[in-house]
Amino acid sequence: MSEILKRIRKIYESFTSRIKNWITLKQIRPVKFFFIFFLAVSVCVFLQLSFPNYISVFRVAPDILLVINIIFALNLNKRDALIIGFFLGSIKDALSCAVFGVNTILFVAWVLIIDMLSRSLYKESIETVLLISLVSIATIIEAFVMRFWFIARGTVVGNRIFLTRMVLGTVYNALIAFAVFRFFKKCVLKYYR
Amino acid sequence: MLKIIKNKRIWVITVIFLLFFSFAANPSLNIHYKTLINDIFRFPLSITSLLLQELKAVILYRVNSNENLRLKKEISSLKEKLLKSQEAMEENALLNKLLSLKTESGFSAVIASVIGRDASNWSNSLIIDKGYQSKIKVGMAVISSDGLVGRTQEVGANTTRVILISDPNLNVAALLERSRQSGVVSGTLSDKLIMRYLDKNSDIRVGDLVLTSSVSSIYPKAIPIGRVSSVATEAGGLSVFALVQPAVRLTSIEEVMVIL
Repeated sequence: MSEILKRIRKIYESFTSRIKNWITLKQIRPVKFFFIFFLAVSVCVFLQLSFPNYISVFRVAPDILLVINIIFALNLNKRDALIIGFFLGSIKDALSCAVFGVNTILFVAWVLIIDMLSRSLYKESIETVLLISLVSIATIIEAFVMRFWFIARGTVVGNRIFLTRMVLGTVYNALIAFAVFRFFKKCVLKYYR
Repeated sequence: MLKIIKNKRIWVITVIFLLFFSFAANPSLNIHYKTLINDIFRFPLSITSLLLQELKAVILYRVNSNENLRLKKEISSLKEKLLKSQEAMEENALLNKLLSLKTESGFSAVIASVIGRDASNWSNSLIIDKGYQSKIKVGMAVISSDGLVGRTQEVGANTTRVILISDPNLNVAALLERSRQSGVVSGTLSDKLIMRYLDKNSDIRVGDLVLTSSVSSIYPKAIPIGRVSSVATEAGGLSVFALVQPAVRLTSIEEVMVIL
């Protein structure tokens, strides 16, 4: 009996020492960032799912998940942005009726493209302009990808509806990107190491 | 070439992508993931939608109060009509019995609240707060008091995703109430539906009521889909199509009924 207790104690001690080594002081800041990031992303997901009726214009709602993916791709390092991009894309795929995987691939692709572009283009003085341009381009490309998907499936979506959705979506996402970026810069990104 | 083969990172990325593609291409696997995510978000989404409904009720207090008075008057007049129709039904049942005809049984249904919408602008769907624990299955018809809403697509334990009739990927066999002309109604992503495969010489007028057809085994027959708002000829000139105004206001729907 005492041997079993000794073993349990040994396992407990090794476990606690591992946790102590794992969460060092240096890592508290990223943990805080992770928590705040998780909270902010959850709020964005709720906004995306609960409020489209109240914030949509001509039945077009802003794509907040795409906007925050691009904000993270511009401000985080490549590895972190890729993980977050994959996570956000798969969440968007799970929460929509469209084909599974398209958003995950697009979101990861955006992180890679922005990482390549930001090395040569990024300057703090033009970060808002760059963000708005990237969000607009991403929305237009997403619209064309969905258009090709509809054609491949033999589903009819009229040219007028497609153009209206694409143009309105681009303008709306660009406007929202500005507001979301201000919020993320003040409340979320400052906790990033 | 040898460098590429030896590069571990390329191998890891290739394996991750292959795993992801096999996961994405397998509907039975990704539906589990989708329903799991929907179930995770169910509780906070239910609270958010409840709070929004309460807020809306407070803001629209006067409108709701007036509507309440109007509905009370309507209920009293409907009660009278119900009594008369009950008499007629009893008479009808008696006559059916005499003629030994089989009467159609009524369908059972589950009432559910809408807790979420679609995250994409390129598809139209709803998340409701009932799942397979309430006996809901994939492919069941979803209606509201005004007419057809859509069909269940992904069913979790306590949540279900409903594809709306305004989604281009949903096709419903339909017919015109007046002329009994049949066609297929699909979504267009806009506020109108499109009824296609109508004969060039068919008798269609603006305002005609479009109903579900008995051809479909999913939807009960004669559920209102909408009213014809305009008629035009297809590009080839062989058939005509009609734009249909949905009977249900899909953007503001809060409660639906899933037909079991």
